[in-house]
Amino acid sequence: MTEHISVRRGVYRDSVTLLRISQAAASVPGITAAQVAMATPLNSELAADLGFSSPDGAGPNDLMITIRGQDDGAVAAALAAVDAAMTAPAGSSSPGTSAAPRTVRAAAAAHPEAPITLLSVPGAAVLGEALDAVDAGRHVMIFSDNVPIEDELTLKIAAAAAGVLVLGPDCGTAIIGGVGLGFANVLHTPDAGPRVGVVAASGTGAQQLTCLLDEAGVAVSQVLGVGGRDLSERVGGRSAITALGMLDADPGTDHIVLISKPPHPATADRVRALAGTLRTPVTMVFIGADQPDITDSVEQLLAELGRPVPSWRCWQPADTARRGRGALRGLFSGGTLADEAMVVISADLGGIRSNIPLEPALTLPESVAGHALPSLAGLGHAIVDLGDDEFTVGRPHPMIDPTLRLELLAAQAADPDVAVVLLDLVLGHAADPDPAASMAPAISAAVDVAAAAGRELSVVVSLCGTADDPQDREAQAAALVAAGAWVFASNASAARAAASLTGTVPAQPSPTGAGRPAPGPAASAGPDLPSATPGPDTTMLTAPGPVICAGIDLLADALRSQAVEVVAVDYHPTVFGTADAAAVPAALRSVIADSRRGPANTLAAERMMAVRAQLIDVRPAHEALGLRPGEFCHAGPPIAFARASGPLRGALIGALIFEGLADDEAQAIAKLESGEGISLQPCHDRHAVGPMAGVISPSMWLFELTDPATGARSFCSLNEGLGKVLRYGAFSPEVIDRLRWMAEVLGPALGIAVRAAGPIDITAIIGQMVQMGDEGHNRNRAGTLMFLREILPALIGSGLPAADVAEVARFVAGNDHFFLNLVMPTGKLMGDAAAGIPGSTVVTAMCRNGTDFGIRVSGTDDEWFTGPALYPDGLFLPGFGPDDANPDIGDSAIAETMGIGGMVMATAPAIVRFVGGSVPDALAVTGRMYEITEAENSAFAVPILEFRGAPTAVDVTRVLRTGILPQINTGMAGRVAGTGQVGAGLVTPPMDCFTAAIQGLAARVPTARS
Amino acid sequence: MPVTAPLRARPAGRLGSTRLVAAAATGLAPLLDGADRSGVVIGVLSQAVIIQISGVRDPRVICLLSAAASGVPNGVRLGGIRSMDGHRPGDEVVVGGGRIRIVGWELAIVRRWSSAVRPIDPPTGTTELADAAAAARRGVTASQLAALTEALEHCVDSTTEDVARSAIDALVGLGPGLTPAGDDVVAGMLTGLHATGHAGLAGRLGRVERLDERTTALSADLIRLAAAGHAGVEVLHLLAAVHTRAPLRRPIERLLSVGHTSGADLATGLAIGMRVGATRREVR
Repeated sequence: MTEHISVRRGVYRDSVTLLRISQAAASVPGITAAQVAMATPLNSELAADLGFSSPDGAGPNDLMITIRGQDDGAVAAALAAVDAAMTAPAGSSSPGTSAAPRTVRAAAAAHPEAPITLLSVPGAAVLGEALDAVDAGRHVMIFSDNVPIEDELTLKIAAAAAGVLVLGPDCGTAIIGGVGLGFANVLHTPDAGPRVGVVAASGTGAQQLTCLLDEAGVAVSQVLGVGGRDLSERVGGRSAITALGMLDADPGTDHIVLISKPPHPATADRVRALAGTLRTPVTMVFIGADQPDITDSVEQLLAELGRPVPSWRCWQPADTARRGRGALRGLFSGGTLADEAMVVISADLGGIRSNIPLEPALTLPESVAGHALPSLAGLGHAIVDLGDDEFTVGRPHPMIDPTLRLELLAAQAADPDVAVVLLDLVLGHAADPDPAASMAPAISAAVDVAAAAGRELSVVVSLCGTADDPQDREAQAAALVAAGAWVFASNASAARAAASLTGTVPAQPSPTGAGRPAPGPAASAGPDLPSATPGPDTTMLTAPGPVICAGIDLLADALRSQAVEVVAVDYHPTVFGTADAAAVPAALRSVIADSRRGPANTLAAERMMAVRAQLIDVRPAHEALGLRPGEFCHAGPPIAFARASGPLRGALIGALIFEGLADDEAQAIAKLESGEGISLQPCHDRHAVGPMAGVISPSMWLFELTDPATGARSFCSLNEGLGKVLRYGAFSPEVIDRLRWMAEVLGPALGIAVRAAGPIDITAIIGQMVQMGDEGHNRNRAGTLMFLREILPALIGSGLPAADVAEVARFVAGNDHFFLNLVMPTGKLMGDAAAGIPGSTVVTAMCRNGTDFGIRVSGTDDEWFTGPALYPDGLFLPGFGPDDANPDIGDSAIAETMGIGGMVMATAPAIVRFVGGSVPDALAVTGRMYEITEAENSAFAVPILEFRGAPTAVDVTRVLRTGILPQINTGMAGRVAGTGQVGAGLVTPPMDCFTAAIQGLAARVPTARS
Repeated sequence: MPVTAPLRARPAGRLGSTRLVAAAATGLAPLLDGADRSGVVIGVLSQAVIIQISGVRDPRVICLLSAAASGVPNGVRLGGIRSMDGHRPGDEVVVGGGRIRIVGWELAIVRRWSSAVRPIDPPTGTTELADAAAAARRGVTASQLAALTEALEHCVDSTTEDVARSAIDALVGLGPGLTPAGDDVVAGMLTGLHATGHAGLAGRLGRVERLDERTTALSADLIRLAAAGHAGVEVLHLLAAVHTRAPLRRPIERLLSVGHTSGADLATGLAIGMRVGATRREVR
């Protein structure tokens, strides 16, 4: 025997895909056990049950591979099968098509004709995707379970405001306009006769009801699932009320049935009151103690509709004499079916233990319920709902994966107390394509195991399906009967038969359930309500159109098999560092749920895009910023000299020499280390920005920009050119000499020219440069030439010596990056305009000091969120390599903050190779940036994308949801002080900035919410 | 419709057969569920293939629709198909047993979508609908529409029904195109009568003599389906919105975007049928 256990950190696949991968590994010859699953506590325990030691430190975001085989060769082959299955392309995107949308927002924007979104993403991730759908005016069905009730409430409140329906969470089934979503039976819906629409707070309850109606020849127009908690006191029936209104408005629905477990009385009153105002008659079917069972309710309904009651199908084994005596064990995949069975059976047998008990005293003992494989030994009559949340974390639903249930069945067969096992089997779209193939042999084996021990075990199956279901109901029933099971189409009949087979009740199995006293279903009645206002868009009820799907592929495939167009979202969850593993998702959910966020972000983006930056002056920093001798500004978030990186140290040394505060490097370092008479602060704190080291000293000259609408100001140093320059940390005499010339000639000359030319519209130049191949960060050639064109006449007419004018013109024209220092203060004006809006998650500054990357966010105003600056990835100048590079540095990421630079990489094909990429890469990068930004800035339009506006206003929540980080184009500085530039490339902020920001934002979410 | 010189007929099933799933309008049920029948492709558009089935009573045309095509009541929508390239007029087709076989494809009908027109609450918004339709270009004159409206309004017995039928006769086949404008007005009007509860009258008025000789096969089929109470998705969406008293702007826009001018002509007829139908006393 050879065993293999490994963990792949941060690899995510949905549970159904993992089931397929596990099956691929298990089918390799010589393999005795294989499990490929996310390392949730439940799955780790299952691995332990299989005899595997649990891998250390593996968590729910890690993939766990456990394989046992006869020899090394078999295990190696199984691992190869796992790798092959893992690397198979997900989704159906083919070359030449654009990348699949990563969020529901992007999918909805690309498909305005798709009215419904189907979500099966992990429960904690539902809120963001579902709000995307609601915000885009789409109905949303949430198949996912484990969705917190606070999220459900947030969503349903938002949905009511947007006029859309939320189906779910934990909505397993819906039929809309003839299309089955989730687990859905294939119903025969003739155009003739009455048509029943169903509102269901119970998935399998609705399936049982509609299958029986189908058997009786009654057409079911729609099934709208609203989730099991909708009729609770807290949720208040919000979705049920909307759904009732929609069915009332559906000309194809003549009668409405609401099916649910007993609702909260106050909610029941609300729903009844509404039902009384509808034009369409409403029948309420509540499943629970003292209520008619579903079969009785259907019979009652058929009577109301004037339809005959058929004799419900049942399939009996040839040998019906078998009769043991002992406990009944129910192993269910459908919660409502389990619930109904308990109600029916407890009338005959008394209390039934369960994980979803009829009364709290009957709850399974803690030691049983918390385990992957509950042992029911010694508990008497018991029914387990294996579809309940506790059994489905990181595992497929038992309707898809029978493993857990079959193991439990075997355990019951071995339990001497057990006389009867009751199972449900639900057919239809998305369910196991051939459940009898595994269930029938398991039943047969169970009966044999019991017989070998001298016991008689009866197996009863409640078969919920229709004649048209893809599994072939007759064949499924025949296989089960051949294995020795009793099979009933009516769940209540199955439960009654199972109870009688325990040998403890005298009653015979009653295949039809007829003859029982049945109080009529509660007819709708109640006080008058104002009649329903014009309801949500009901066009989906006529023909649903394409469906946006995010989550497990199986559900999308089930739609495709019905000839439904699927818009697939390439969803995968973001993995955070272990330190943040719990805190970040919680903070993210709380911020997403904050109702201020949407409007606040809209406002932030609008303010950002409304800025019209005008260059009004060029002045020395001591004048413009009020910098006094010894005061220096630097790029990035605050930093002490002791932590400063090489380039920043070099630039500060050069600045001290330039200011005459030190004669040489040694003196400068001594002064900086002692800190005496020296103060350092971020440029950002003075509404200024500086590229790379970004050092500004009092004698340096600065561009001064303003936004006339608000009067806001921003400042930036003058660009020194490329090569050995102060901003890259060089401080040799040529560098200092150039700075002197810039202060004595260039600055004053530009000042005269700018004042003479009048305000220069920098925003307009940026809009043009973005259409001319400049992305405004690593390519500024067009912008520089346009700027020169603006100032040249005034410069020539300035009366300055011709030699100076010529030198200024030569300097500006000879430096393709000259205009970068005008892009940057424009970005600063835009970022500042968006700052300080409570609830907004828009990033207003991104910058680095060579050691830390820092971001500021609108809703947290001037607070910095930092993480370690990363190393850019790109190309190096001759003579330099990766070892020579310093981590990312500079305020220039303000270009990406404002929506250009790396964000519009697609517009600058000329430089894609310079930063180590290709043109398709560039198009893909910009396409991806739309996933994380709030708005598109039409002032900066990208021609190759059909003049789509630049992706603007990075949203912290979307970065965390998608794991997509803003793309920054940047130059690379040498690691050692004095080196200068060594290359250029691409970089992103570290995720830490965003995980820190979300926690800062969450701390400011008001606690009292509606 | 591009009418090319008939090429040599290609038998169904040639060139291999890719299996596809499709969803059919319920109005096609008798044809699709019956025994195998042969048909022929009579038109190929970028988003639709039009098939005529021989030797049967109604309906006799099937439209294979791509994802983007409008939802005609004799339509079969193909999942995941965006182009009808590769088909050509004259290709042979076999229909029956829930399947359609055509050159290159075998389609399994896995789902039905209801094309049935259901009675709606007293209609509102017919003026909005008529105004919107009038603003769009169409090929039927105001006087012809007035004649149709007046004849319908006075339609109380077999004699007056004859008058109405001649007003309809004046429209059938009127105008160019695959579905002539006059036909679309008639189909819309018949749908309007169905929606207001006058199925019997719509059925009688829809029996146009020598219909097949007077218009295209597709258009004749759509008139027959309208008379039998079937309509396209865009019309059904609009009727649902009227029933719900929801804003009509978007459903009207969608209806008007059907075909070249077909949507506007359908809307024109629908407004007439609904307005007259709502004020008639005789309700089924």
